[in-house]
Amino acid sequence: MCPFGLILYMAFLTHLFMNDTKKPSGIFICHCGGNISDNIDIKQLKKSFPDSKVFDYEYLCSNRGQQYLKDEIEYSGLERVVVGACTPAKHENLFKKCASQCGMNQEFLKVVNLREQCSWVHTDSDRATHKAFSMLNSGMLRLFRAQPIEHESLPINPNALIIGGGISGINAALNLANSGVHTYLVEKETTIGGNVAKIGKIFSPERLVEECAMCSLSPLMNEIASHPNIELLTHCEIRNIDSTTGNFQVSIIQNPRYVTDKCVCCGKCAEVCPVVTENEFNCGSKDKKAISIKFAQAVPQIYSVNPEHCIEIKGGKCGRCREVCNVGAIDFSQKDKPVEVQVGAIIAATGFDEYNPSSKPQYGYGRFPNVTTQMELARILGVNGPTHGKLLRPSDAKKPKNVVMIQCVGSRDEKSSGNRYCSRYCCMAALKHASLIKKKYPDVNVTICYIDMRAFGLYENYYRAVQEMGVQFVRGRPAEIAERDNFELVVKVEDTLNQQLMELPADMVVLSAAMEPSEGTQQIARIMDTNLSEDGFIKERHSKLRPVDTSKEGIFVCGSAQSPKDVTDSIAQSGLAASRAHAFLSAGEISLDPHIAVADPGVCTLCGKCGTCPFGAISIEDEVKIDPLVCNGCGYCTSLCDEGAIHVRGYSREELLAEIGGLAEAGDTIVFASRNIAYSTIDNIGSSAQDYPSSTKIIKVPTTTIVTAEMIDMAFDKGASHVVFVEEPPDNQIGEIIYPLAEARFLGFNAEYGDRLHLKKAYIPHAKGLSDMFSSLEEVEK
Amino acid sequence: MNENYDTPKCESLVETVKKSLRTSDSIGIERCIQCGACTSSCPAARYSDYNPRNVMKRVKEDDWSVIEDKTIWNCFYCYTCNLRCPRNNSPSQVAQVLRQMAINKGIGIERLSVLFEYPESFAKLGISQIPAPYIGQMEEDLGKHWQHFRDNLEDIREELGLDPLTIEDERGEIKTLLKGIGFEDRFARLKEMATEEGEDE
Repeated sequence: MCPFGLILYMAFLTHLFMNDTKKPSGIFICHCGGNISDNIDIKQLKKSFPDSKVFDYEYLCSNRGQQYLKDEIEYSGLERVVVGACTPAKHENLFKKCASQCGMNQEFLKVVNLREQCSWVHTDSDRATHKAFSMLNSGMLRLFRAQPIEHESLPINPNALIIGGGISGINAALNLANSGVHTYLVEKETTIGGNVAKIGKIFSPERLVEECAMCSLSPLMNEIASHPNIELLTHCEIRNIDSTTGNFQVSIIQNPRYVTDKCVCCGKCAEVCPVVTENEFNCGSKDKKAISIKFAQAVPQIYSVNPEHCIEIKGGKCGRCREVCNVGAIDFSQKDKPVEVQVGAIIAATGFDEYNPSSKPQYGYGRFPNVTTQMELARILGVNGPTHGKLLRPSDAKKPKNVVMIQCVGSRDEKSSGNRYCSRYCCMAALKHASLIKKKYPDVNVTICYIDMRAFGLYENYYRAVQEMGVQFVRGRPAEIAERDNFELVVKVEDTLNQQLMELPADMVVLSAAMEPSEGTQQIARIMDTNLSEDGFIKERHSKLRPVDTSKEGIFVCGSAQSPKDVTDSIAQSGLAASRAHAFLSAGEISLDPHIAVADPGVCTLCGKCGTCPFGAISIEDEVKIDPLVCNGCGYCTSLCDEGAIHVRGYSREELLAEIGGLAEAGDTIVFASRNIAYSTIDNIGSSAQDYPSSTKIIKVPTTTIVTAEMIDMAFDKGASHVVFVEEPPDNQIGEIIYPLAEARFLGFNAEYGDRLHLKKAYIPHAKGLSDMFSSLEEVEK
Repeated sequence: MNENYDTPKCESLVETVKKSLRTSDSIGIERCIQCGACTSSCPAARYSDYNPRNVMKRVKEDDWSVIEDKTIWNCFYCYTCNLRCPRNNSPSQVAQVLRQMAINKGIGIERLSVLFEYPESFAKLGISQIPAPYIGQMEEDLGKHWQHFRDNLEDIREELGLDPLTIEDERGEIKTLLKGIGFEDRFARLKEMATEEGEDE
């Protein structure tokens, strides 16, 4: 087509589509310093829009360019503006801001991607100019169908809730409280401290140092108790969370302690209490009364009565504790107490449970008294433990001569009784206990049976030091433990490094049991309605970029509730969770993305089909309710609605049809690209200096699930040869859900349209795959 | 039955083992971490040079000479390795594939022929019997108690109100099954191999 003919044709088309629209409109074309103007004939382009004011500028994004845009909008009284420039991902918000400064609604300005999707990817100037025309033209046609949108935001409650009072929860609470946030710390036990209170010593990354766990923990616990910004709620369970993002209503039940906070912790009550019970804190040793305090440094410093063991509470007659209590702190009339709190952010720090090795009967745990876990050994070695720090074996309180440790018990195990993951802390815990034993009892032989020693990072120094202490290492996973006379044990293992079958004699065997998500972790995930990983931990939004965000906005996770972790890593992560929660709260409000689904109750027949929203954003009662915080505007619901009663703002049927109608021409490939990764991948073709035919035209959609048969028909009616869906890959949070739906919809269409319809997954680095595909479709046509 | 279900023709040993009908779908040959849980659990390894961990290693390394290794015939399918392997492997199943590969190559038929009474009695009675060469050893190992059971089994069963042990293949189901899997041809071929082997010696 000769240039003159082209102009005439363009003028005709413009006339055809625009004569029914009387709004004063303007088109601004940015030269992008030659990036656009070198390849697109802007003079010629300007002539093709006789009904619109058309402007061009060297750098529209510069301060002077923005001023030019604003001046011309005001001077010419423009009500619809198309800007032809670089990708909207870059400066659309900037130009929209200019528009709103001129009193225009932001939805009435649209950026058309003349750089990444036109001048950079089409080498032939005439063709590029022709495509630029159809892009600007269809952009304008779409704008005439646009509806104004007001941006909304919701206030956020300024308070925070931490669930779990272990080292992670304590650290997160202190971080938040120190930055001025009023923080509730909820713990289900009678004291905070968690597992770190039990482990005695903590291994250190740099050198062979085992720090006293309680010496690090106790000051932090006391700080919690006295912090003006922290409200500590112990012996509490979370029953329900009514979740509106940024405004969580949390229902808590506080279990009775039967001791009031008048308690001065003198301990007289426990002295007179006649009931001796098993002490869970000391791995079941019989050294606890029915009224007790978990450990000396417990916070709060208040005794509590175990109702399962107390004679008085079980209906008998005793009350000796009440008699000796000078301050009158014993109160048997206490009942469950409901507590309601409102918070804007939640951090789950619900921690881990130690794996129960009785699921591995070959190791005899629970049957052989001298088979223990590392946690039990930690208690035995702890000065506040059942043996006051002396290494004595459980069966007969004799000092063992040979201690064998078995690694990976319940970890790195594909059997259903185990866990597939590496528990991460156990190699170091075994080394720590081996070191503690060797330091105190150099004559005790310690052998560690391992598969791989994982002393990652700086911990290698610690490993080396323990090797030098004369600890033995056998590379092999033991088959079984047998018990001989006098509770002596034999560990059967192959030393795989020299193919020797060994029977290691042991007085005591210590199992390095896996770290599993605690029962509380699983429970709280259900209550919070956040995603769990395959292994039952609370799943982070993104393992690298959002490591403490959960699937729910405003809810964060840290410590071993998220994955197996040692103390050092738990503290690091809880600091991050506090910082993320603080950033979320200090924004003060959540601005809602307006481009979400809205329902028209006038048209809706309450059929309920949209209720299958895969993100759970839609509920149907007297009318269709769409939660603006949950809806991400994917558009899947619009395809379910037969009545057309539901649409995504900014992507209505009318807008999309107008764009398709203005864009598609004979022989074209019309590409529907999901607005995030798919659209960026197509931009990347331009940034990486590849090309594709100018007959390939891109339409941005929320996801391809919004595309209907009517839209495909429109493209083919206008003469398009191919229609392509480019979708987010199923490896991010939205893609995982959307891709299968998009694929299913595509397959449905495919039956009807055959090989003129295509679906492609987009991967940002693989721009070439897409450009090759676009080119091959053109080839087919030739 | 097509021989290839047992030992499909593949480029590598790992692939052959994985594709064989004899191994479970979840078998994790490549994932083996050489921890030795199999070997230390293995009764055969305790009393012979058989080392299931090492067999797995050789399979992973594509060492085809493992087929000729006499120790692979020491596994007696107790499946303890299978039970304890943290990677869902089964050296016991792997040994079965390797043995079939050996037989295909004409190796180890003498290991099989001593067991011929098993399939014979199964085809006849619907239940397998302990082959004669083993009985002496079992008498020695298990003693009088076991002999008493063996010799008076039918009486003891009757006393306990149990049916006779032999399964009446009234509807010919066992025969149909055996026919379906090509048992007779296969068994005949094995017997032929055993005879030839005997003649060679």
